[in-house]
This record gives sequence, C-alpha cells and structure tokens, in this order.
Amino acid sequence: MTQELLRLENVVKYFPAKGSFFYSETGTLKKGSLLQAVDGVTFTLEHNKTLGIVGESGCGKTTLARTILHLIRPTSGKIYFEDEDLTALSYGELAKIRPNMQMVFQDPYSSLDPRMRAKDIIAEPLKVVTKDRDFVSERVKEVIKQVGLEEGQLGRFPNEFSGGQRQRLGIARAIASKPRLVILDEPTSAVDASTQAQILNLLRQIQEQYKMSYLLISHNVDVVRHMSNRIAVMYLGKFVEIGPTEDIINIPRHPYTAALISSVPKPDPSARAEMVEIKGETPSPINPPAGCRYHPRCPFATELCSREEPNLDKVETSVVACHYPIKH
Amino acid sequence: MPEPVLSIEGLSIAFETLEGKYCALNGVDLHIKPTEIIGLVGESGCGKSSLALAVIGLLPVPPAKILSGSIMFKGDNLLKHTEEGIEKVRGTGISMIFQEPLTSLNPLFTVGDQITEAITVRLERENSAHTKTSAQAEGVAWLRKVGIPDPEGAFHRYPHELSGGMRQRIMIAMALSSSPTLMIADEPTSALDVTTQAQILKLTRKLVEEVKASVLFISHDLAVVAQIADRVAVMYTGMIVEEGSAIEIFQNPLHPYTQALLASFPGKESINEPLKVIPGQVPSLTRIPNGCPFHPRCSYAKDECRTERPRLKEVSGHGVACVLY
Repeated sequence: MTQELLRLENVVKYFPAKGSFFYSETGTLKKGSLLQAVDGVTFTLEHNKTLGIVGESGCGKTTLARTILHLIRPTSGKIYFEDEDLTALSYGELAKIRPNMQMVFQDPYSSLDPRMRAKDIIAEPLKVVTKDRDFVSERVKEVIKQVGLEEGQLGRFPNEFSGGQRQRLGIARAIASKPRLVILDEPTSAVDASTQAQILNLLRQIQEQYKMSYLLISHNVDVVRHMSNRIAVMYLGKFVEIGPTEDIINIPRHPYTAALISSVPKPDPSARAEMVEIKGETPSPINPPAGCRYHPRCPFATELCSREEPNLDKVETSVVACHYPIKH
Repeated sequence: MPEPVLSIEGLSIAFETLEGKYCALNGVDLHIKPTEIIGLVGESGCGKSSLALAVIGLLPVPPAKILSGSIMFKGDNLLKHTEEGIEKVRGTGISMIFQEPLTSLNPLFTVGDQITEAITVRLERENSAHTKTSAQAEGVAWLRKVGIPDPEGAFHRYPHELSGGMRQRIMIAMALSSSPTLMIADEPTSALDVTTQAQILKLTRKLVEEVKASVLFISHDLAVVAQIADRVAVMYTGMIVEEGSAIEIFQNPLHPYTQALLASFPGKESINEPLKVIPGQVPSLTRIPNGCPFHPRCSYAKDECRTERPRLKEVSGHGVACVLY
C-alpha cells in the first residue's frame, strides 16, 4: 500500500454562469461566461493525516470537497483514491467506494433529516455496505457512544438534540462505515465557542482510533492550525500555497497567505496593531484577473504578475505560487 | 468622571413561551461612558441581542415582559417612553447595525435613497436648513468615508448589487451619518470573511472616534471583541458575569467562565495536545440553574455555588460575579 490515500491532479470544475444559455463545461462555446470555481488543484493526502484547506467564502473550498467525493463530476483532471482513478468510474462503481469516503457538513440543522431518528440517521450509510440488521444495530450502538452521546438517545429526532450534539450525530453518521477519508466542511462554524473545543477534540480522538485521513475545510485559521499536519491556502479556485502547518502560519511566503493570517483576530487587545489590511475585495470567479489572480490586491505586484500566472514552485518546505515569494 | 451615556440598571426581561418562562435578562447592570466602545460577549442564546433590542425599544412587548430595571439614556428612562417617544431617540440618539446587512437594507430602494433618508431625519431634527441635493451630497460623502469605491455610482445601486462587506459599510454609513450618541452593533462582522472583518473593524474604530459616538459592540467572538473594545462585559445566561477593561479581561480573566472560554481557544497549543474543554452545554434560558448559573460546568464549584447567586463585585479593578473573590 502506498503512503498516499488521495491524490488530485490538476482538478478543474467550471460552472456555467449567468447569461450563458449555450455553454459547454469546457468553455468551447462561450468561454467568458464560466464560473471557474476550482481551477487546477493538485495535492496529495497521506494516510492518517490531516490537510487543512483555508480560504474565504467563494474561493471554491466546498466545490472542491464535493468534486473529490464525486457528488459533482470534475470538468477535467484526475482524482485518485487509493490508486483508483475516480473520474474513470461509473456511478455504480463509485457507490462501492463511497463508504470509504464520508463527509461532515457545516450546518448540523440542515444536514440531518428531521423525520429520521438518530439510529436511522447513523444506520443509513451502513445499509449500503451490509444487509445484516443485527450488525447494523450493534454498530450504531457502538458509534453513538464513541461520539459522546448515549444509547438511550438513539430513538430521538434531530430537533431533540442541541447544536453540538447534532454535530456529534453528523460525525457518528460519517464514521459508521469506517471510512478512510472524511471531509470536514466547516465542522464547527455553526457551534458555540465552548462547544467548538469539544467537537475538535472528539474529531482528533476518533481520527486516532480509526486511523482516518481528514480533509478539513474551514475559513477559521485557528481551527485549521489546531487540526492539520499541512495547510493549503486557496484563493479564487487555486491553491496559492501548501506547506507544513507551522510554516504556513509563522513564515507564510505568499502575500495572500501573509495577509490572511494577519487578519485573523487574536484574543489579545495588545495585538491590535498587527492586523494588516488587504485592500479591496475578492474578485468574481467569473472572469478572474489575468496573470496571478491576487495581483490587483497585492502590495508587491509588478507588471509580470498581471501578465504571467505563477506556477506552484517549491520554496524550502512549502510550495508557493508567487513570482516574488516573501523571504524570511 | 463623565456621566454615562447609557445606564442600564437591574434589567430583567422574560418571554412567556410554551416551554415556560424564558428569562432572557436577569438583573443586568451596564454603564456606557461617552465615546467608549463596550464589547458585550457571550455565546448564542445568552441574551445579548435581547439587551440590544431592549435598549433601542424594538423588543416586542408582549411576548417580552420587562420585569424590573431601568435603561437611562442621557438621564431619560427609555422604558417609560411611548412608541413615539422612542422613535425620536432612534437614529439620532441611538442607532443600530445588524449582523446581516442584506436583511436590514430595503431591497426596493437604492443605497442613496436609504442613506439620504437617515441624513434628512437628522437634519430635520436639528432644524437645520437643507435641500434634497445637499442631503444627497452628504450621503455620497458618507459613502466615500466608509471606503466605498466609486461612491457616486454606488449611490444609485440597489443593495443586492453590492457585496456583503460593502453592504455592511453602507449600514455603518447610515448608522453614523445620523450622528448618534450611541451606536449598537449586533454581530456586525459575523457574516463577513476575516479579511473583510479586519477592514470593517478598523473602519468602525476610526469613524466612531470621528463622530464621537459610544458603541455597544455585541459579538460571540472573543477575539473580535479584543480587537475593538475599550471595555468588555462577559455575559452568561442573561447575566453579566465579568466586566472590565479589555486588557484586564483578556490578560487577567477572573471568572472561571471567562478563563475557560479563553483557554478553549485553539491556536496556542501543539497539534497533539487536546484543547481545554468546558464540559456540558449552555443551559436553556427556560431552565437556568439555581445559584451561580455556571456552577454545573465550573471546575471550582463549591456547595454555596449551588444555592447562592453571586453578585457582580469589584475585584482588582474589574467586576466579577463569583464566590471565589
């Protein structure tokens, strides 16, 4: 078995945008009207590791997650899960792989069916794997305890649980089929500050127990930092920097990474002066800027940046897409 | 010592619901001095927004019921006012910005119409001579002040044509253009990205200083409050459990709840270290525990915490409601 669990090669997902009645996903008819949600993403994720993806809303994080799980098919590129190319599989073949890859959603209110009892919610992904009812009910009882809920709560409906408990239920559903990959899409952004730490600790603990890999998607840099071995920073559909967690946080090399990290408020009033402001706003992913997508907002941009798109190149421990990476 | 702009004393508010009495506020004392930014932090359902709505007179009574207390604004008890009286305070006295700017802007009017309305109201109340054009010119000037690119163009646009960050800037422009004594900001950056949030926080600080308004800044995010507030009040189950200068609260927290909340913040520890956790959950406001409301989750809880509700008392320069002190 190789070290890597998941490998993406130049994955692209375009959506038809407003005003393009006649379109094709490859953009042959009307290239100008494509929303370039994910545009050439390449990375690998190893067994039992966590890759955190940070980026602001609309940068394509969630689309990337959905594309990896093949909830939507990529426009182009390859996605290998345990050396199998998912993009070449039919829906029937994908169904066999799906129990190995699960997802925990952001909103524990809308991602749980209000008419299903807790036990049925957790059992549902298991029914794809087996028809053995006794096995399913045993597994459900085991899983609910692992996420810190009680067996006695299995008969309840989602509305009888608090926000934090619902998120535990979502986690129980995701781990029921013993997946090797779990995508966590903003798992704590809908829970309270005092509950967030509980959920994060739970996620860490079951990762050790099940030896799973996580792909953690979040806009919260502190959460990603706590959970991840490596961090990828996404801006307008592209990765601008990937590297080991502490290096991304402490020695960011892409100007966007540096600005993003410094915008994160710290619970310390004496750190106010450190906040660096990024000028302007994120441009639309329909017709993104030419050259480096960050150049209109970048304080170091030159004419080269507006003309030529930088490649992801290795700079010491990280991989950075910038013509002028910050030196430390 | 300057007179406080706003003095809330012993304010208790409850809602009658099918599940029982929902005690949103339980004896809240809060004083806001001129040009001071007060950060009110607490988790969802702790009564923060009820407090804001009570101050600006938008709390629906009934189902809300004011059990006791007073809200003195410039020496005037707002709770004694009729609807018309309160209306005269809104805008030029107390203005408010909300979390989601899209739902607080009218989708059927242009940005210009809405900001001009706020300015016209102020000018009328001040009895100053004005024309439609002069009010509009002031509106454009305000849009420029809050950092909207192409303010003349934006003036004629509708809210849906602008981004979330721009809409929040417009809300700030509207709230401050009526030169209020107090601005209430209820989670104004929670719907925004961090980079936009950093912009909005800086802008708010700068403009508030300029118009000399006091601010009641409400947020669930301790880190955001640390970036903007002069003084911080920590709320739990409709009570203020700790209050003091921002530096004091963040560098020397006294209440076990504040300490635990700050300790559970991810970011400082190494990857293999679990986060410090506050056990249990925030109790529902229909079932607030007896005694200290935090005692079931507190690691220092003693017998007396179960029976006696501690009052806010002064300890080394800031107020804390805990028997440990």
